[in-house]
Amino acid sequence: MLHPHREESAYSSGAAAARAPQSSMLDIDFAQVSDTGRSRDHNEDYVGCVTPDSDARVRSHGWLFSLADGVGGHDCGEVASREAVETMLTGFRKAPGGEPLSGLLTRLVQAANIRVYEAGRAASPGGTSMATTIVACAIRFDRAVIAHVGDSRCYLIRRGHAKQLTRDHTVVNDQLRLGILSAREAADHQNKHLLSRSVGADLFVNVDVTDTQILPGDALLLCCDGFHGAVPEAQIGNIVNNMEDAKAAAHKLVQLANELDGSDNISVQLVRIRNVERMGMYRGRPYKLR
Amino acid sequence: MSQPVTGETLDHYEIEKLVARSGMASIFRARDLDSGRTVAIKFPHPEMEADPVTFDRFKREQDIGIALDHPGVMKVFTDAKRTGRYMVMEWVDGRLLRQIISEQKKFSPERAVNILIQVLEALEYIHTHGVVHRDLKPENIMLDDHDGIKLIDFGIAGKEGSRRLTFAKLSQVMGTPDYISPEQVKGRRGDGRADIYAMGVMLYEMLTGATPFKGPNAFAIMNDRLLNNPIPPREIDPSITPQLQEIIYRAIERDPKNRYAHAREFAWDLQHQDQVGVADRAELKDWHKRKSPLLRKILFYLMIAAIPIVVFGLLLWVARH
Repeated sequence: MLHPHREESAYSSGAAAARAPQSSMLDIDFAQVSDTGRSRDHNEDYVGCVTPDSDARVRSHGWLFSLADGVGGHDCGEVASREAVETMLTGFRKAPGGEPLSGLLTRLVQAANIRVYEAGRAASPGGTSMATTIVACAIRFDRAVIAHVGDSRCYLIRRGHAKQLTRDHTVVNDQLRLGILSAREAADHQNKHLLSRSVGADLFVNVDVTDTQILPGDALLLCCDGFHGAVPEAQIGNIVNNMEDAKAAAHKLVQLANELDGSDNISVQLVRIRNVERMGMYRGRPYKLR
Repeated sequence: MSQPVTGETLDHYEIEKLVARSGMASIFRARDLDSGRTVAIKFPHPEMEADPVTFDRFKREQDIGIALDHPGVMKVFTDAKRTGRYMVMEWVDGRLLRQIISEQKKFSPERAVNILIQVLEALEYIHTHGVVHRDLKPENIMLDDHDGIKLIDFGIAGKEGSRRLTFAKLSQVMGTPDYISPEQVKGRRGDGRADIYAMGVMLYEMLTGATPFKGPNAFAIMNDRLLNNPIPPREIDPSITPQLQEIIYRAIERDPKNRYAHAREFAWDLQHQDQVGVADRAELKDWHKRKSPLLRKILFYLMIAAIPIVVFGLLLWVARH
């Protein structure tokens, strides 16, 4: 089942509850919101997800959430983000069951990169005119695998504390990591939005992949820079912790980002983990843990 | 709006020839049918018109060009009768300084100083009119047959970065990695002293045949100026006088406070080199010590690791005494 969205203010939510999952299976509740913001006249973000339609699919594929924030003039950013997310969703649906998620996500981001690169070359023969950031999260059993390029982020919210799982691919962040800039200089940098990596800028892209264990009660938040540039981590943790309903929490987060800034498009995907299936691995094969 | 072709008449300009084509625009030589003079017409590419960042750059260049009137700055003409988005500039017979450097590699000190003094005079004029170029490089300086100069391309002169861009547009928002000032690398906008730094780099390049900071990519070149000192010009070419070397070092000081504050001071030193005092600079002694961000990081972690060892050692020493 696909849930792609980019509307002026699009909300969508879902839960595995409708499928009446087995008590020992991975079970999640999610909501995704993409909002144009208060200043922009169009939305260059795009969000989408693939939800499994059977218990077998929960175990063979799991869920995929993907969020992209387009870069480029005119309508190029919109095209880039849509192409990237749609390529990932289609690839995930067609992927063979049981494929390791870290390898699968890397392959899908590469495919999205080539798709956007080709679209950019077609739109502007002299060079690429479009690019996008992307963050994607695939969840299966008790693992969440996050792949990202650019400055869209993924947070893990555990017991009210938000922890950033991704590292922004910006020139300023790279300089900060190398010790060339201090944290204060980085915060005041006038080109802090200059991306060091993006999807579609070159024929190949270096993808960062993070694998993390998830626990019942955890939440994962995928968001664009229009959101994380406005809302501090502490407030993200508070809101997600205090609001049980994923849709209400996602709505509240976007509303807060609009109140605090709203100068950019704002998109979030909030995934609340209700239950997990504890699995171990032996020689590359999963086995159930008690 | 589609690109004009040779022989076509655009408003009251007859297009004669396509003379240059860059990523942003095409430049044509044209004849003004009203006045009969030859002009240069800069015509943005249609896809560039769709990109707000590059189109802003084009518009800014036009506004600044119209406001400035100096023999060392390419004149941009206003034209109320113009029906399309293009820029009309004075026609300059000449070549880019970049082309000349590529061909000749090194200039004689007299020629380099003569070119630099003219550029500094133009810079002094634009700085007193509140404009900072911020992207000075040999590609933006034209020379005629008698080494007369014209500054061109004020694209990022008024730029305040805020939009998110990909790394490919680094030069468009921050400046060209070889000539960018340290304060611009650190994310500050940079004032007139950023232009003076770029001129110091250019003087170094004209005298030695190479730019002072190196690296495998634009990111590394940009950061190298914050970590290392360049090879002293006199190490490359001993015929360069200590005074001229001192002037280069004064222009490329890492901290803008220690740099020439005005282009006229830089020009004065170049005109009166015999009165320049030569400082005993640390840069002349430790230039061969190369620092890398990775090495700095390793040293940092080694220091952190050494703290408990030192504390344990002290406690042991106290216990034994």
